[in-house]
Amino acid sequence: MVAAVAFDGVSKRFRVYRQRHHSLKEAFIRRRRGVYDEFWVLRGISFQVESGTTLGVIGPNGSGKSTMLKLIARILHPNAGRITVGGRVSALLELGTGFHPDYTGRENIYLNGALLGLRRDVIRARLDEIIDFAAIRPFIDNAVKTYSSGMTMRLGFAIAVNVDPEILLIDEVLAVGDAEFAQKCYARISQFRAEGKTIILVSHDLDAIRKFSDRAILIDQGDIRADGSPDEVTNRYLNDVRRRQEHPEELADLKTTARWGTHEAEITRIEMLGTDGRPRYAFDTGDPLEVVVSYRCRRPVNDPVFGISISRADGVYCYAANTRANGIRIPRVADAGTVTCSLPQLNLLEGSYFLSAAITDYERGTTFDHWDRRVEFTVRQKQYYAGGVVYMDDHWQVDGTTPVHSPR
Amino acid sequence: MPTEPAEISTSRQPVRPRVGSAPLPLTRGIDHTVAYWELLSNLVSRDLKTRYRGSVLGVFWSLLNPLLLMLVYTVVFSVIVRVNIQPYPIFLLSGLVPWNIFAQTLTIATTSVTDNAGIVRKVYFPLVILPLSAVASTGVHMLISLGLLAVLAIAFHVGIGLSLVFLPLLVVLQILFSTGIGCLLAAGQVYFRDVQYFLSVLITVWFFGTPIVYSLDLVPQRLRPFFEANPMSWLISSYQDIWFYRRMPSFLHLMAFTVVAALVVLVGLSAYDRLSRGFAEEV
Repeated sequence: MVAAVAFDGVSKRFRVYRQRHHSLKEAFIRRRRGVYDEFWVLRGISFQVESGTTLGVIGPNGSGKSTMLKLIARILHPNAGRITVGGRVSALLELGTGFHPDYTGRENIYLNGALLGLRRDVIRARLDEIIDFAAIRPFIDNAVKTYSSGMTMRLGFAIAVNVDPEILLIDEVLAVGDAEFAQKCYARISQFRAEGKTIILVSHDLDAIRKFSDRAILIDQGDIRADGSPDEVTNRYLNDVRRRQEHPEELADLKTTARWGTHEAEITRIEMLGTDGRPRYAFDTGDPLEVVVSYRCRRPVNDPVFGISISRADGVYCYAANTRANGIRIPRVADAGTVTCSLPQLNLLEGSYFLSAAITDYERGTTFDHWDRRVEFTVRQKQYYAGGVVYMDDHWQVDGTTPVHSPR
Repeated sequence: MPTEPAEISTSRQPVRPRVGSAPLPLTRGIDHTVAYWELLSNLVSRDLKTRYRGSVLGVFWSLLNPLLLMLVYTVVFSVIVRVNIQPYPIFLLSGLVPWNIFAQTLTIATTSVTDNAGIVRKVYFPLVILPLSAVASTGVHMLISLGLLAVLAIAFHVGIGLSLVFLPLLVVLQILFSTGIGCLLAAGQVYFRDVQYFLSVLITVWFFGTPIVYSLDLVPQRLRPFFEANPMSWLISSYQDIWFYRRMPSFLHLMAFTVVAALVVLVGLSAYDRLSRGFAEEV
């Protein structure tokens, strides 16, 4: 076997500046360039990717997946360990990066192609293919700043796959964009696989991981937690998230959480409860649930609005609701209490999600407390209903009659 | 097939520990430059196209700028202060044109990495291209302004001498020198944002410390050593020699500047190469 990519005890450390001294004076006086916390994004990981295979990489946000891709792409350099890359790499990390807004689509193809290491004559030969793939021919001579985000992304993808890479790195880029283009991307990836290219695919879309990968690894907190067949590893991941319901205190460690507000009223706890009234962090599509937000305030607060929102782990904003939008006006809250939002049916489809909650002011909209991505939970489908984000209660008729359902 | 640096198929060394047999950074820099030549020319043309986009006179500003400065300095130094150099405009321009290009190169090179933070964080490419594209795009301006200088030299009856055969050499040396300093400034700017403010002060002081609006003979004897120790004095006086005095540049100045330029470009490129490993995180 030939390894296309090999990691040997690779560690990567990041500095998170709490206070950054960007000026020489400060750096000189304090003898360093800021107050920072160091943390290891990757802790001595080793793995190999066989040439011509597709590796799926999954893990919670902040686990080090993207860092791994950037190390392979040589954008970042490891603090320890050794990385061997045998082949030309093309990275689809953030599509459309490096586009110049004032340039036309055509000019940007040349500029971006050059950035990816393509020669002008190569780009010229593939120009039509790129334009057709991105499906932007009518706009190709307009400035890119007039493009929709979808068009920009399609163009970025079309250029990157035309680099003719030996190793293709894909980071979550397929999660966005319309279905037709997503299909085209998947078809293109299948074609790459058939051509014997090596692909490393990072995604929160477990379906895509199962469908395209020959092997998968699970990364969490900088370590490889599982390495094996895509089915094994994706199940392990779902189980991991499930297991956290038994240890909800672990959730406090989530790096992805963020919080802001004036704290005139504070959220003290956000819980998701199943029908039995006990905390739960894993659901099946269609399950009923309650979200309980506990609050506290030192002084009475007039006219608060309580809200919750759900986003998918890849950032797709799925749902948001609040008391004001529901026609509820809360004149005043004091001391402490709870607000409960009941969802009779969780219509989200399979995936990993985050729940956020916030208390704001009714009139001015001031944020008292916003706790972003406080709770992570997963949704599984007991049986396959549908793909995408939400379940829509679809009904079908064939030639005007409702067909008899056969048991699945 | 796209060309790639030879380095790609070989294994990469971790940042630490640094082993003695690391490849010489300079050769790697050149390797990259060749492989990504097209990227460089793309960035240069992007820079040239966007710099004057929306301005009525466009690229003529790069001619107008030294012409207007020439007018101002000529009035100040040959009408008011009466420096005894004739014809003053040609003397002035022969030093001012290369100096302007030098100052402009450093200014653009300094922010070349931080201005492109988006791609530095997201795309792999030889980062040395960023300061190099600054040098190259001002190089284009230099060619335009040198053409202007030649026209004026004829117009003022100074003429164009055989000494101009040294012009290409001076231009190359200047490019090497500003590449080295530009790389250092660009890398410094990533870590300390006040490098660019420091630079604007430095350029002003350096400008008046270099015999451009005056000639070295006018400097009092006891201050002369300080002015003589400035490498830009050697370069600028060589330009004045070949344009204004129509004579061979001083051999000593030429040799000294060659050595300094070579050192600066070596140090600049290798320091840049080392520091650039942290750019994606720090920028």
